[in-house]
Amino acid sequence: MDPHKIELIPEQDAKPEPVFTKREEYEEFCRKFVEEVGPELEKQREARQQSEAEAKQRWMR
Amino acid sequence: MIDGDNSILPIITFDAKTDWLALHRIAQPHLERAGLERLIAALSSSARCIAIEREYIDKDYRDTFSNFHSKRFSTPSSRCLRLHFFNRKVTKAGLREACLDTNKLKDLNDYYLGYSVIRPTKPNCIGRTLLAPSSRGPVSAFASLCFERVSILGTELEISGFPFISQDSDVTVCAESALWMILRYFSNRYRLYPETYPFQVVNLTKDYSLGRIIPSSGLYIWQMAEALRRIGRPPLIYSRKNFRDFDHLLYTYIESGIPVLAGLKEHVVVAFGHRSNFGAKPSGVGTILTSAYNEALVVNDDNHVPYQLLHKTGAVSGPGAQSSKYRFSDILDFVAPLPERVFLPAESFQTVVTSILKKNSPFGFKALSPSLHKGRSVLRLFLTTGKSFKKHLGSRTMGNSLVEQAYRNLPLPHFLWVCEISKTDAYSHHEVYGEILWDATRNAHEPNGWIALHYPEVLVVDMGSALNSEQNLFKIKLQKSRPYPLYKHNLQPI
Repeated sequence: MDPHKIELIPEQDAKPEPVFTKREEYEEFCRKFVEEVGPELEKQREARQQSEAEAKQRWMR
Repeated sequence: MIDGDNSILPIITFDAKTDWLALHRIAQPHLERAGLERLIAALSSSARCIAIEREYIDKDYRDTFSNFHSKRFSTPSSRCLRLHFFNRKVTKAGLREACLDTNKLKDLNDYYLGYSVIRPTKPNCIGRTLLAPSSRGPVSAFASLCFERVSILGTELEISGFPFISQDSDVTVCAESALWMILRYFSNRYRLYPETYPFQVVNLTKDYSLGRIIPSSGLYIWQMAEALRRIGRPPLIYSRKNFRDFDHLLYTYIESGIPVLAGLKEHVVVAFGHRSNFGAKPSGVGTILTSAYNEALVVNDDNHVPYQLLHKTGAVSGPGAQSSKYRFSDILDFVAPLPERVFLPAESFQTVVTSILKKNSPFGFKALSPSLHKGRSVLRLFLTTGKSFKKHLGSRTMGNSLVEQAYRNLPLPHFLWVCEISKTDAYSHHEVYGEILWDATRNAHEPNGWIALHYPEVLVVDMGSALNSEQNLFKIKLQKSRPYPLYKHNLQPI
């Protein structure tokens, strides 16, 4: 069975339409997404490293 | 009235002549005054009857007895007392009859408030404890709870709550006690995690310690995190000064049904629930994150009683038995023990959501949902399992039958992040208009972590990753969508 023929959306009047009609549009969306979230994710990575380093000094008794 | 003062199970019923002092007398030498006062503080508003199970062999105390107390010159008893609390009068005959009659068993179970093991340890005698949240009186909160079956002379009762234990100051101090509480919750709740006893908790940190580990003088936060990792809950550590949205992230994990270790100045408590005012009007004009409605956390502090409320700005009427002396800003860091297969942390999901919903995004409200574009939006972020999300689709209706059917058909990852979308009025009625579903097993840098995006006007689904192939986003127009109940199956009302 070709997995692409599996119907995930039930039959209905409004047919599913592709969000991106051209491959380039999709790739542009992906590029922008990665570009946009990248700096924030980098800040989060640094915040985690600092939190983990500080956890070595935090004594609970 | 005391039934069977010298028996193996004396039962105290409070009346004009019998009060908590009768318990103090009968429970000697185990129950010391400070322990009695903690029990009174925890249960005076609800308990009317106490069954005292003598010569009780407690698995947790026996573990510390075998590995520590038995090695001392002067040893305490190896046995404990177990106190069972009821909100009505209970008799031995009633306990016996409940074994044979399911209706009587159900009635008895309705009166049962839970148990507390009293250890022969000084200065803290309160051992393994599981009390129903109702034992502390009304809280109006939501919390993670687990379940146990309890046998009293052969009569099997059931109890739901969050495990509690006080430190014994030898093998365990607050750090080990907090770890024990969280680990016992996991082993009670999920078959995946082994039951871990206090000395085993200490041993979980032995490869990350310098010098001896008992008697315990405490643990570093990172040692506690390592103990959680070894038990199969690899944790993330957040410190207030490094994470801008610290309170929101803490709330998000609790809302996801993940109890966290909340680190105070030199003390640690377990936070496993929240009390929120859903009718509040958060200040500002932008998008509201539901942590803005949060007024208090439900915590177990081993120095106090179960189910304390730790208020955002401190206890309104000052700290008492039921209110923590701490406030949100006193929590300096927290450790969130995530399931092994959750790779995307809360803050990264929030970044993804922010990117998707931003004004000029092709998937933002402006582009796809005129109805959500108007007014202030409320976003509720949480983690859940695909199985649980699907289980409740029918009862929630998802605002549109097509969405419900599509979600039912979609193969889902074991864990998914959900961002429910609402408006202030609808949220005050616990209703939402849509959601973003994102694969929690993804890397935050992957733009194809999509599962679905649902607004009243449209459903966007990635049919590619659903079938384990390349991302392939499709959209379906929706009509006549309605608001529907928010997902509330991670926590239980208490």
